[in-house]
Amino acid sequence: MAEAFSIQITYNGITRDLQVQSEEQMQAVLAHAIGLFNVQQQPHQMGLFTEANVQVAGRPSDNSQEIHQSVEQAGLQPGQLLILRQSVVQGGAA
Amino acid sequence: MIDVPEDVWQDTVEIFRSCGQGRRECVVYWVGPSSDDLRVVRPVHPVHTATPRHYEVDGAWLTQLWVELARRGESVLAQVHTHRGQAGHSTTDDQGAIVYQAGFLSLVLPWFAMKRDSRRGVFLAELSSAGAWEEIEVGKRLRWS
Repeated sequence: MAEAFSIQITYNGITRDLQVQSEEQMQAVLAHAIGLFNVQQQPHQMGLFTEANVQVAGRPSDNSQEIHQSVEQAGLQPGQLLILRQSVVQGGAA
Repeated sequence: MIDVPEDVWQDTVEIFRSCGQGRRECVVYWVGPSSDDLRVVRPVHPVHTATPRHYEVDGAWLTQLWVELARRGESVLAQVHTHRGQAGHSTTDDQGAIVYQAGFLSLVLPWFAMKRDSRRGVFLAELSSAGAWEEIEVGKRLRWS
């Protein structure tokens, strides 16, 4: 039976709880996190990171293969804080 | 309407001039309370790389900013960056912003902010509820105070 627990997601200064299950895919967690904050960016541009800046969901900034793993495989713990942010923040006239 | 104190504006321009040296782009984030009180309290200058036509923010720095903002009860209210020539919102700007929530503002300063009146010729874009960046008059969203 899958274990369910809450983690915390922070985006631009606001932190919200999100219920996850140990067998849930991190891509699904990312999609739910994006919905929590009404983020309008394309999902493939976003990622979830630990406080140590380890990416646990989304496409890495080097545009390599998207991360596929479950909540359990990502090692998430109850109450853990994840950072929802763009994989790459950039700009310019180019 | 977001209040931008004069000292925040002056500090922002000084960061652009000292970091960009009139040769490279630069970016600053205007931070304020995560509340209905839309008042910029400080400019935050990220760790970033830059060329005359591009900048990119360090990912680890951004992760720590998000943690810091959550702990301080603050949010990025607007992003501000420079362009080499006239100001506008490029495709790179559209796709690489720091925040993607409706109403978020992106201010672009022309000429690497090296002109005496750096407010002249700025370009302000707002993210619409449809997810598109749209030009908007500065006076409709920013109040210099």
